[in-house]
Amino acid sequence: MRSALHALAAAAAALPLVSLPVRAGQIEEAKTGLNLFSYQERDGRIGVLSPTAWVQAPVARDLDFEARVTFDSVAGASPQYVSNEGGPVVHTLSSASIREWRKEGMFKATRWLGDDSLSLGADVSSEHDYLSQTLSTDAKFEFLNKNVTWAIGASVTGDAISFTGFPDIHQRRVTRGVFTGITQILSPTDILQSNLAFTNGRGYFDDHYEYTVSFLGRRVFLDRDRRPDARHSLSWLTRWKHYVPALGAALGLDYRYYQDSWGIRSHMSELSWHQPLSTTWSARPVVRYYTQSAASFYSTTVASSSGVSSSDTRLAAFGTLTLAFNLSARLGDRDTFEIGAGRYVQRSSWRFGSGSPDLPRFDASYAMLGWTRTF
Amino acid sequence: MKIFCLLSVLVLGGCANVQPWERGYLAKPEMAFDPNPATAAQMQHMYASKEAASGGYGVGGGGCGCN
Repeated sequence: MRSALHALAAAAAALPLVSLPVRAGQIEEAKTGLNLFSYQERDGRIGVLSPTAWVQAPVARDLDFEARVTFDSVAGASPQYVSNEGGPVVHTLSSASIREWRKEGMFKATRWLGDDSLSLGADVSSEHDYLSQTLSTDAKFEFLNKNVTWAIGASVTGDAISFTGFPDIHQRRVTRGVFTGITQILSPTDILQSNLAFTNGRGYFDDHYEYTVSFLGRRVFLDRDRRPDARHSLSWLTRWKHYVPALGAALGLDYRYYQDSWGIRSHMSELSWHQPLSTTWSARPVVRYYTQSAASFYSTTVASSSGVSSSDTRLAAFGTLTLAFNLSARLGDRDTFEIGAGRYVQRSSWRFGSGSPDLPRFDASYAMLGWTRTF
Repeated sequence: MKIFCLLSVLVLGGCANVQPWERGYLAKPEMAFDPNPATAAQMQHMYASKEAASGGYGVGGGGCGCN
């Protein structure tokens, strides 16, 4: 008996010391951070500089708090109209250079009730012609010796839309969303998460700044962007992380299926590899592929008879590829610095099946700097 | 509980019972789904402004005139 106890004690002493969250998802350490995100589209199109400050902290034994503030500075030329004046359909950029600002703030408070939690959140995004306000709530429940976490949530977003040059026009849109997800530990090296989200949006979805021009013989047709006044969507996201002990690295694989009432179907897959290079440095390359079908009312000519028509490239059929690389350095016990860069490329021909004809090539690149302090 | 386990089996393929002392690898920073919440939010915002699909990562998140 005594030797068995000695063996047990020896085995316990040999266990690695690890810091495990007492409750899944609980914020155990206060953290704050600053991020600077820079995004630039090729050919002088939109460029964005976006600083973000964030904090997450336990403010009491059973109460966590998160907040984030972002300020976007947007400059460049945006797509304005589609025309076949010269024969082929051409997407034309606005001749005027725009400069806009967007401010966004969010907070979320989480109350722990034993192993379960209840959260309330709010998010406000403001531009000179757009105000979006969201309220959300979610609850998380632990099951099966904390091997499974079940999450449910709901949100409502109210958008107020106005138009530069038309001070008397104000439009509204309300989007309600529900969400459920399961996170499950599959093995000592595998964890899987699967989330289902539904949204139901009603109101104004048009892009008032975009229009389509069609030349048919001597006749010229001009139509502004007109979309259905409702949009319902389903997103099914599944994420898997696998730890490779031999390499001390983690593999990540995400897949999302999306469909909506506008006829759009999309598939997104993302592969990442998180490799510590030393006790200080770690690298994280990411590859993402995305493909979508076109909205049923997407058209580059005015000849639509359904009453709704849009030539917005985001409603076309295309595929995209993102290649990104992040490098982070942990300096001391408290500070982590992160630097990253990526390239985002969109091509009509990269869609599974066939993409929308006449869709221009689209290239963008981005870079980010981040700093995180743990208290 | 049994119903939940059954749902979990159907959706995720099984109810493993990994003990707390076996979760050392799972607790490593590399195993976080989103290592930096601000970076993840910025990436999702960028994709949502250029693609028709979004969502699935949780509730909340503000709308934007960019989409």
